[in-house]
Amino acid sequence: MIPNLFKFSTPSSFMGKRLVVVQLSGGNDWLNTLVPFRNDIYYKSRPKLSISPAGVAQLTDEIGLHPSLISLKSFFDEGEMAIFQGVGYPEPNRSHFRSMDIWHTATDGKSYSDQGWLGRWSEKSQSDFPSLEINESLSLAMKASEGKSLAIANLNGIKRIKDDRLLQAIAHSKEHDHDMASYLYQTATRVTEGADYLTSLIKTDLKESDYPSNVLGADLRIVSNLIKSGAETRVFYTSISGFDTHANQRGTQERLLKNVGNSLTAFRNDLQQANLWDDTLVMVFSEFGRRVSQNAGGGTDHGTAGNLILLSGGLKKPGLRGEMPSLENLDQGDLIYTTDFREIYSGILHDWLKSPEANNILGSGIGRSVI
Amino acid sequence: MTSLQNIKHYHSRFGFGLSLEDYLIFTKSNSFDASAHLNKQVSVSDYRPLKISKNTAPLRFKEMAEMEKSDRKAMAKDDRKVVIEINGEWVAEMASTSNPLREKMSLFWHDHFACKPKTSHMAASYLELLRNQALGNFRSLLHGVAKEPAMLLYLNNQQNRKGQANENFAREVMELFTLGIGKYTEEDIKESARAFTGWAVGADKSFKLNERQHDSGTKTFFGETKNWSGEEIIERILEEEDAAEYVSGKIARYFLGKPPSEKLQSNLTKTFYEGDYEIAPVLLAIVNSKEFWSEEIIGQDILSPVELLVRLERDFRLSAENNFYRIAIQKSLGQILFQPPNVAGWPAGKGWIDASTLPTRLSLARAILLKNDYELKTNKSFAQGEDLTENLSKRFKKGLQVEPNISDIENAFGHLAYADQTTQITNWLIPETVLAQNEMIEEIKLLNSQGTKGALALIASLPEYQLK
Repeated sequence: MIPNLFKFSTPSSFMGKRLVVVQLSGGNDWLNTLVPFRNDIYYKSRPKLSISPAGVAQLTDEIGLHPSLISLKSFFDEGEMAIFQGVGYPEPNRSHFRSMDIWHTATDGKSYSDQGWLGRWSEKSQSDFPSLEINESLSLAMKASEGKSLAIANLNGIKRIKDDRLLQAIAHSKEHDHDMASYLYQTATRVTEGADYLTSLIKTDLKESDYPSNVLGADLRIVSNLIKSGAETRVFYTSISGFDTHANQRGTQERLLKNVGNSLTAFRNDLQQANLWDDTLVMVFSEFGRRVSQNAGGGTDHGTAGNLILLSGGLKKPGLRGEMPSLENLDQGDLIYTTDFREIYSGILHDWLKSPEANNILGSGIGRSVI
Repeated sequence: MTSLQNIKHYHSRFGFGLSLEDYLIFTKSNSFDASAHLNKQVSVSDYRPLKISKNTAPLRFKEMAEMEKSDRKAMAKDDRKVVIEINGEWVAEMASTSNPLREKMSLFWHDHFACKPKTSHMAASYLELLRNQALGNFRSLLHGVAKEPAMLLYLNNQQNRKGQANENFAREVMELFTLGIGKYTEEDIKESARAFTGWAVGADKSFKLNERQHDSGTKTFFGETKNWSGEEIIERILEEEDAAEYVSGKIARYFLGKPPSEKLQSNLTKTFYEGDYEIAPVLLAIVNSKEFWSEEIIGQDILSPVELLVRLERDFRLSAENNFYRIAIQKSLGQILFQPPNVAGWPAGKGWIDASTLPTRLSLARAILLKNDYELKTNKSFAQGEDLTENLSKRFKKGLQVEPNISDIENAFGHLAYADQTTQITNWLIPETVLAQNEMIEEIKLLNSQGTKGALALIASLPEYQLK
């Protein structure tokens, strides 16, 4: 039987910093998210799809937010937002799956792995508490061979697991020597232990700010409930999909970014009121950006480099980070990256999660961005 | 290795599990010849379209555009209901067919050629192509799929026009359907995308080559420069032995639950390539391999959600007024037919299992068989009556709305002592390789006087029932 993973300490004693990942699945069009509104090439490349200078929420002299993200402007103005530009990796892969795999595993793009960067972190970390993904299933980023990560779809799911007595009996029965059966029995054990721990924390009478009623809003609301309840979980993972805008991009992206902006704003307000925002870091990423030129269907095709956004009350270096790639000097119609995403991961692991293992998790020779 | 182990293993991989009838016949004859059985399944020409497939009609988008918005919405909603009907009828076919291999392979192709059809008419056309050719020839299947309206729209080829190529379709044809990543260049994708320009869906909702949008200039593909057509691109891809390796390897993983050994893979590649992409010889080579029958394979894979649903449906003879339970189960376990998560298709094996899906999987048999009114008479706390329907996800709040009929099972085993009934049920339903010294099964045997229904519900609630 695997050892009890979860110690039942007093919840309020936890003071550590935590990471909340927000994954934009499908390849977000970053050029229309953080708009280079003074760049002629941008407007020439996208006669139908560009966002006019008057429409953007201006952040700097060069960059403005998509109008649907206006709610994020205050993050930037108050030093709670770091926008990395030109984030990507060498020899970019334009397949969703392969590129997402590369982001999830943080491998160099030539090798394959079935373990994610956050899974490897959790394996090496001192924390006995499960990393948590709000989803039907666990993303590759969270997987590891000695997986401590849990995926839950919603809070009721946790309570139901705790109350299922046959499941509890299965979880406490003796070990199987058959590989796959043993995997299922061990998963049952892990699930019931995790559910016991989390149900002991969840508070139903918490005051919550208003969350928008989209998938991301609902998921961030669960995350904030657990954070405010004192869960010692260090890593939370959420995602929102639909960003693969080959056709009719304008309306789709407007709707999606509005969901993202409003959900993140509600999340920040919620944690600010509870004095927890300075210890919470939100990382927003997507598997790639999209091609500089629009296509014939009112959309954009798979591209390469894009942005990565960090949000927190405790950022050491907020603002615009890294170098904006040239829109003129392209590789097969796509941006050439200027910052390797693994440098940002390294900063998050080292500076934020205080892991001494950042080099072991990501491989040596990776630079480190200050977070 | 016993022949009971063999027959269970074969049916769980090349079908949807051993049926009660086949189990009872086997207990009398005690003999089974897998490759003869497979030979028969691949050689009968028993393809019939689903009844509902013949009854779908294309949506007329032009007419719809002129309708009131509310009428248009209602029409689209009605059409989505038809897609659910197709889903349900296909599941019913899987559970009742005399040739489960056809449906099992169709399910494989639906994952391989992953696609979310936009309308019921497109869903039916796409599904029937897969079902018709499931055991036939990969070359003609690939040509067919590449011209299915559902696929052309799903991969945005409607937007692939001369001078403004959309590469999505061309990329997935090579990356996911034939060669796998790394066997072509980005230049090959750009050039072949031009060959597929103008491959569109016409007003009658069938394939149409739109000449005006088609780029008939010269393109350089795999080092050869000429005026390539889309069909020629597909033919040229299949000349690569890599295509035979990639596709036969994926078929092997589907049946083995893990990648084939190098030796088996090279045998399959050769069989597929030299057999001009005939599918049946690959299946026979798998069933005739030593590997397929090894203990590292038997019982070492996890049922996909749809396989689990089909098993429950057939093992417990489920009947219902509508498709609600089929969709509810698919949804909560993460595999809805005609709604793959993305073009790469669904996960497999351990990928199906997580903290949310495992508890649901383990509660389904109890929810179906015991409902709220049934109490197991025992002191063992885990077997006491509980509100199991409430225990499931909120989608099942009103229960699964499905009725089991286990009279055949009761007729077969009901006359036996309780412990012997549980032995028979585990012999029928659970892979042999997990039965030795199984603590939970021994516990269940000791419960006594639960009746056939209680024994069934508990055994089918064990993790072992999830294995194949």
